[in-house]
Amino acid sequence: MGEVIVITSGKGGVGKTTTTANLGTGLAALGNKVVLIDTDIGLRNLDVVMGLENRIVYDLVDVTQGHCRLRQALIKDKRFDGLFLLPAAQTKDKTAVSTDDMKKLCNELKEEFDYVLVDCPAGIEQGFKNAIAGAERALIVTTPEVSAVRDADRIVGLLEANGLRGPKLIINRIRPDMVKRGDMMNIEDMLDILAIELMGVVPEDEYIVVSTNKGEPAVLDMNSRAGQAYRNIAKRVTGEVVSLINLEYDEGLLNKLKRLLGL
Amino acid sequence: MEPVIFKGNREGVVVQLNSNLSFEELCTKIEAKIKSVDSFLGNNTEVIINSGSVVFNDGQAQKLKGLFNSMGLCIKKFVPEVNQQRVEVNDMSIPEIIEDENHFLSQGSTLMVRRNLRSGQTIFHEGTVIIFGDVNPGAEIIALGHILVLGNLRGIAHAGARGDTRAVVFASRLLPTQLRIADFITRAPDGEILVPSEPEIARIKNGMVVIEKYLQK
Repeated sequence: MGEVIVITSGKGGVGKTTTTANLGTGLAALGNKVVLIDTDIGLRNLDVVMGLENRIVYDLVDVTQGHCRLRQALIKDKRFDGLFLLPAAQTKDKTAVSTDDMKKLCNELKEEFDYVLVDCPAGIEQGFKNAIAGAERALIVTTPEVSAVRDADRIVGLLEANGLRGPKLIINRIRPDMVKRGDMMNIEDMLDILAIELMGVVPEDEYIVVSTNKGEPAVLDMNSRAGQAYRNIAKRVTGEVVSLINLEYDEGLLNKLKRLLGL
Repeated sequence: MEPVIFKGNREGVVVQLNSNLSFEELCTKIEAKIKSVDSFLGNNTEVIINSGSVVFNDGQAQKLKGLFNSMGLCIKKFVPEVNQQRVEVNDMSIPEIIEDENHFLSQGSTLMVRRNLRSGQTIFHEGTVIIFGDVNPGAEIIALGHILVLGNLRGIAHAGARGDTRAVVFASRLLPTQLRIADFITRAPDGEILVPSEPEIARIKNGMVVIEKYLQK
């Protein structure tokens, strides 16, 4: 019996889809059977980030409306045999799926997979309600900006109200140099406000843009710092204890120094 | 139930007064009772008056003392203690306000919240609200009475929301987005935000919202 984990943030553009793609790929690379569900109906992206756009025949709405069997809509990943994607429909909207549909779907998928990752759309409307309906755990993605943290806080409250307790935090796109200068919120500031457990810190990395455009998750690139952070997060999701942030923090600064001096 | 009972315990002789009677009637009963047990008690025996839920005022206590003295007994102490007239304090220190029972009663019940209040969550209560946790930015508490936050207050707090200017807002760390008491609205000055290092309390003084350290030196 697997686990259903929703990746959500409230605010848009903080990296939910990137996190879903990388975490899913990272978990699959560790040998798990993983399925990614894109619930952003009408604005689907996960398939593009995974580089699987051209293989879509059926989607989430086709499954819930009974136009096809679940198996037919699952797209197998190019790289890992244990990784699948259930894409969103692009031509419908969020109301095409109900929370009951999602609960049923998640229950069905977790019978077969070790991890069911649900990529949540931005906002707190129907799409959000659908995404969290079948979830047992939640990962909240935020960036070191007041607006993103504010939205994350709202999400924590809504998750609690829906009985999803103990969400964990992923801080994305942090820039250690800016934090050091005091120009960016630091990790402690964010944890102080949100008061939830930290799951990982992902440094800002140009390579993410490259990988997203290529449809190759950064987690597979051994030189990418963000990729390393996602590999650590994937391990933590499986329950392994991997030393947190501080290491990544120092490593980032050291690398920067090395690059400045060495190159 | 007997209105007047004599009992002995470790502290001495206790006179228990269980009564809904008026003070005058009680005095007559006491007199009769003491006469009936006269032989048991020596002269000048010290007694403790236990009046249960009834609290005597200064005048009544004096009368009782006189009555007992005339019967050859001496009152050592009253339980509960005689209600002293409250001393009016010009500069209302905080414990005074909060311990003012009548004020509390007029403000309805007290709501205790044992969690963090997050963005988008609001609490409205017709009385005093106590939060055991943080109130984050985007959260709002509206109370007709006081607001006490045993944590960080970063959201909006409105105490005395129906115009009670005696209401106070207390927080372990008072950093509200906006602070409202009765029909006064304040916010932190623009620019550098000073993070308080100790508990603070806000209330209205001379037509202004004043924030002070809770623990006065």
